[in-house]
Amino acid sequence: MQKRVIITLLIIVLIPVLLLGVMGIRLASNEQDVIKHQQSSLYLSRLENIDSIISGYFSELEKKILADSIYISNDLEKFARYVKEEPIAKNGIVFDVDGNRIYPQDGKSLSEKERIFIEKSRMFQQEALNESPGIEQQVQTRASYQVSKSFFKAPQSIPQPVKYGWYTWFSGVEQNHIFWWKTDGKTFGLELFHARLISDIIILLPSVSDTQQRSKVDSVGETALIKLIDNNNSVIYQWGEYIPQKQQKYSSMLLLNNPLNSWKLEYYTNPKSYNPVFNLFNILGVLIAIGATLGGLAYYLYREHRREIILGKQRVNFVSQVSHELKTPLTNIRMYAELLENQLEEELLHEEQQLEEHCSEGQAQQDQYYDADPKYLKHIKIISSESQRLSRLIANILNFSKSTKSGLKIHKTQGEIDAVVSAVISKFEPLLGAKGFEFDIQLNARNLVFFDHDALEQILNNLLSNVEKYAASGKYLAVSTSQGNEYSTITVQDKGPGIPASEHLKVFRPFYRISSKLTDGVSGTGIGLSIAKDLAILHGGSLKLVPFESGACFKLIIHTPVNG
Amino acid sequence: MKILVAEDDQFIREGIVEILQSEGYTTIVANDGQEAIDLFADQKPDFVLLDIMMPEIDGYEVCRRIRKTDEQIPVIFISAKSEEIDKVIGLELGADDFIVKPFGTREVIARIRAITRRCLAKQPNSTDTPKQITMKDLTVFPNELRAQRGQAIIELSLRDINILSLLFQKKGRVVSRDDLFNECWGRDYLPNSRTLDQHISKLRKQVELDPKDPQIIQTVHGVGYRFEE
Amino acid sequence: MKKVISIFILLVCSLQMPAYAKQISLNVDMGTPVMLAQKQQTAYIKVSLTGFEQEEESTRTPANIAIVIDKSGSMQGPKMQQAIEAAVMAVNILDNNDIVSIITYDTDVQVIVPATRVSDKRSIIRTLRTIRADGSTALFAGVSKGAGEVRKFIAKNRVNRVILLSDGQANVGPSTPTELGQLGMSLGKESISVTTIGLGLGYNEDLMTQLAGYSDGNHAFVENANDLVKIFQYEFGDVMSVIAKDVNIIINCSKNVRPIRVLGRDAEIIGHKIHTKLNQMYSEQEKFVLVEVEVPPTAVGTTYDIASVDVSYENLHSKRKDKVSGSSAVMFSASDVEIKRSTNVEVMEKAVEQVSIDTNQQAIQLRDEGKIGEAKSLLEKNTEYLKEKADSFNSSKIRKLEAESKKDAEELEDEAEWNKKRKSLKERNYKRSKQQSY
Repeated sequence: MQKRVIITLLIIVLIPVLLLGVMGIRLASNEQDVIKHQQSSLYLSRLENIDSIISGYFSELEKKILADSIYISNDLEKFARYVKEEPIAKNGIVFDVDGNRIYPQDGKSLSEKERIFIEKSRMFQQEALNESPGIEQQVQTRASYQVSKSFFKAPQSIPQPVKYGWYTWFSGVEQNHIFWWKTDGKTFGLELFHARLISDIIILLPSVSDTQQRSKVDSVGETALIKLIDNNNSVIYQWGEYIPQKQQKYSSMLLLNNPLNSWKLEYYTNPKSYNPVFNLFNILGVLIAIGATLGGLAYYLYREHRREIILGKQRVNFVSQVSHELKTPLTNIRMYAELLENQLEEELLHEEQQLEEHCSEGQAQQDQYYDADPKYLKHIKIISSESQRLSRLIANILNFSKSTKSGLKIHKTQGEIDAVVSAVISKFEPLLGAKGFEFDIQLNARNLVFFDHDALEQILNNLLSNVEKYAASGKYLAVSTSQGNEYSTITVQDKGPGIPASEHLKVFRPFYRISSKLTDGVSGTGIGLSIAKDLAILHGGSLKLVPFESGACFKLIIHTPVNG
Repeated sequence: MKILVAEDDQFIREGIVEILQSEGYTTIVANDGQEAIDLFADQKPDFVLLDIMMPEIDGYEVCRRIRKTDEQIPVIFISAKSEEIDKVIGLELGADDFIVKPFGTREVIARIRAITRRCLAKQPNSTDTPKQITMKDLTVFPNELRAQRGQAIIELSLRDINILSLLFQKKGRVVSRDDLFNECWGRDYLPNSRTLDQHISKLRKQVELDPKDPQIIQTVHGVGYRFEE
Repeated sequence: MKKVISIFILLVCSLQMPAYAKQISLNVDMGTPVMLAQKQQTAYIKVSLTGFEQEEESTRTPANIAIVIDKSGSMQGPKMQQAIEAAVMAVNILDNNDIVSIITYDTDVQVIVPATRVSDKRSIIRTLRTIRADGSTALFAGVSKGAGEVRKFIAKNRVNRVILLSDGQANVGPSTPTELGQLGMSLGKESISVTTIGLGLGYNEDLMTQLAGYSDGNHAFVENANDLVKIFQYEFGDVMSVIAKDVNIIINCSKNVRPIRVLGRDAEIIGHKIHTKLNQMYSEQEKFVLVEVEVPPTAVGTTYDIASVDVSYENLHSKRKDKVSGSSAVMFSASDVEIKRSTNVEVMEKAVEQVSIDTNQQAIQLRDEGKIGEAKSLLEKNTEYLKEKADSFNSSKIRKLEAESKKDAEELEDEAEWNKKRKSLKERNYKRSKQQSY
């Protein structure tokens, strides 16, 4: 009983926990994906943020040069001085409408630097003849980027309409940039210091303890590292305090735009910091909390249940104790009532005989002997039969209390079924006879078999006592016995009001009493049939209510082997 | 026959004693276990009725001790609890039978008679008790406490057997009331003619075909009774 | 003739400037004021500028300095300690008008003191003392960040300078001498000079000299960390004695006079025009530009204008843009005696020195290419050349150079000492080309 309760409670606790666990893990793995997705988009947005800084730089640079171009485009002298003085400018080149180089002039002797530049930029010179050298479109879109810090002190507006763009090429591993614009049919090219571009970008990018930058650019802190990687796949600049493992793959990557095409930003972060384990721990925590709550509840219920059981046990014990205590006085009542009954019977019998003898002899000794009134016998019989009823009640109570403790046991001893049956009937005969019952007794189980006399007696006691209580109106009792090879069958039927079909099973339940006008007035404990059925089953048989045209008919089958 | 009754409840004890005496047994009574053991050694009863729940020494222990000196003596346990009966059987104390409270007189009588039959059957056949005696159409089996007329079997008490045996021994002669009383009730039993008369009436009801015209136990007015073939 | 020119210059100066205004003095001297007639020959023009005296400490030009310190793993121990001490000393020299920023770099760059006025020296020094060496060498990024800090307060009337201290090879970010040189070039255009201090034997001297050279900063090879403080002192001495900035020198050679090369300095030669720039002039220090020109055959007795020089600069004393001009001419004679007597030994000494430096640099390059033999013979040839010139001009200075060159040739083969030797050669050549004060 306790075990079952514990298992039930465990199931009550475990099933929700398991269900929640499974759901939690599902949820977590979903969440994992969501988080992964969110994170990679977060990383990417950080990189895009960086990219916008870089793009912003180029856009500012473009604006500045284009703004300057207004003053220098119509005078080659000014352009030459610009090339010389502008820190970011390395070389300059100008073509006229026909694509002839007008600066540096071919006629004039060239400086070493100019010669090298012209040599290097031959491809640009060829492309300059086209409408728009290099990639133009990409650059135009960049104008939408805004950087909060203006790197160049330049007007925000770009003189329009001007065609401009970047031309980037490699000489060996060295990257070269020409910013070009076209105005009045002339094409101006300004070679910029690549190193200077990088340097400026580095200045704009956050550094470890650059607090000003940190507030502006999403700080990567200890958890991440961002690398700026050039076209040769070597790190140009990096920041963030996270130290990636060797061979660790970036968490996110972003390719940069023109003119730093084929450059990229890589975002490194600790993959473990978003490990499933982390979430699993969370889930586990929640599960443990739920488990603990349910466990606590289960424990509470278990304790309450146990207390109930103990209380119930105590009650049952109390009842059986009281019942036992009742037995001794009851024994005395019954025994002395019977002794008295015997005695009265003997006296009446004797008187009768005496009377006859005396009558025949003509003597009257009535005065001397007539102290035994037949009324007394009737009274004492009532005491006796009621004490027997009380005995049966007590036996029922005790059996019931035993059956709830699984204490019912069957002890089979050799005997004759009919003997027990008739003994029980004979016990009830006076009572039923007094109510005008008609008997139909057919006993056909006289073989010596093994069975529990007490159990059979108790079953029959209960059946007959029900007949007496509820079927008195029928005034009929039929008991028949029969015997098979291994089983004995006893049927008890009456012609009382019967039991409705809907109640056929319920009547065997403990404490169940059919509620009707007929039964309401009748006292009863409601455990008789339940005990009878338990005993029958325990005896390897059954007790059933079988359909019968009128009244109730109980069919008892018990296992009665010939050999013990 | 002598029966030791050990029972701590006075009324039950007295009731049982009354039943046993009315059946024709001699009884010795013990209020508790220790007394029972002492009386058993002292009086050598033919069998023992033992209540389980007794102060000082309980029925089990008494049984165990009795079994040490006499393995054969029948022991009947009296108990209020059927669990205790389980124990009696389970412990294999060698109980011969048990009576569960609350019991009626018939139950006690039935069990005592069953034990008595066993005792008598086991007894080395004494010459004075024949296997069966025939009184007219009634056959009496003294050792089985039974009589038979045709197919009908009549259960009899030890006293009934004694009365019938006495009448049979002195067949044709009158057995005086005093003699009958002394033989079948015992000398220390207070003679009471009413008791005797009532018993005879009851016996007649059992053994006579017509109690109003007795053939086996005939009344010899003023003297006693007689059986005549 | 020399006197005439000097007087002329003085005249020009006095005409242009108020009497009280201090000016850079310009001297345009020919190595051979009298040349052999009727012969195409090379001549050396020495354009020398000398800074005026800085009056007193209080009027010095405020500095805008970024100290960039390598704190990579190799700096661990006394090097780091000395570097910190040197920086602390530098901060202590500076005052409230100056601006300083301190940048450290390893794998990352840390701007530990963003550009700020030197008012709270203690807090800056406290920050300096927290530097712990660790990691790789992101030299390019370090210099960039330093330049970025300087740029925040960049001004014409400040000495804008990045002082880089490194002991190792740049291994994060751009790391070739060319790339650093270009950065230097670009910074130089903004008049930000980068002084590079190479510490120990692990740094890349080409990279460091290029970076310094193109931005007109100083360069020093500090083998022993204990000398760092001293070097910093020199460097800050220079920094604090800047009296002029953005010194543009334009040398216009006369028709038929063809400029061949500018010795020691980076200059742009377009046709007959030579342009070079000094980022700054220091108080009472001479900086010169040596130009080798080809003079066409000329008749005896002719006086021929070789070149005119225009110098424009920011005068930090007068806080205005000043100009000085000068020119030089030669006389042609057939008399060897006259030629020899008139020879400006001092100019020739410098010219020989610069030529010798050029040869020396070529020898280093050969040595780098593994051509030890060729390098050695080149140096030996150089020794010969120096010997000849020493004899010719009877110059003890050139004799010293000759001895030096001899020694260089001998030490060229020593594999074990070469790294150190190369660094000291590079440093020596650099200092002589740039007339570095220390």
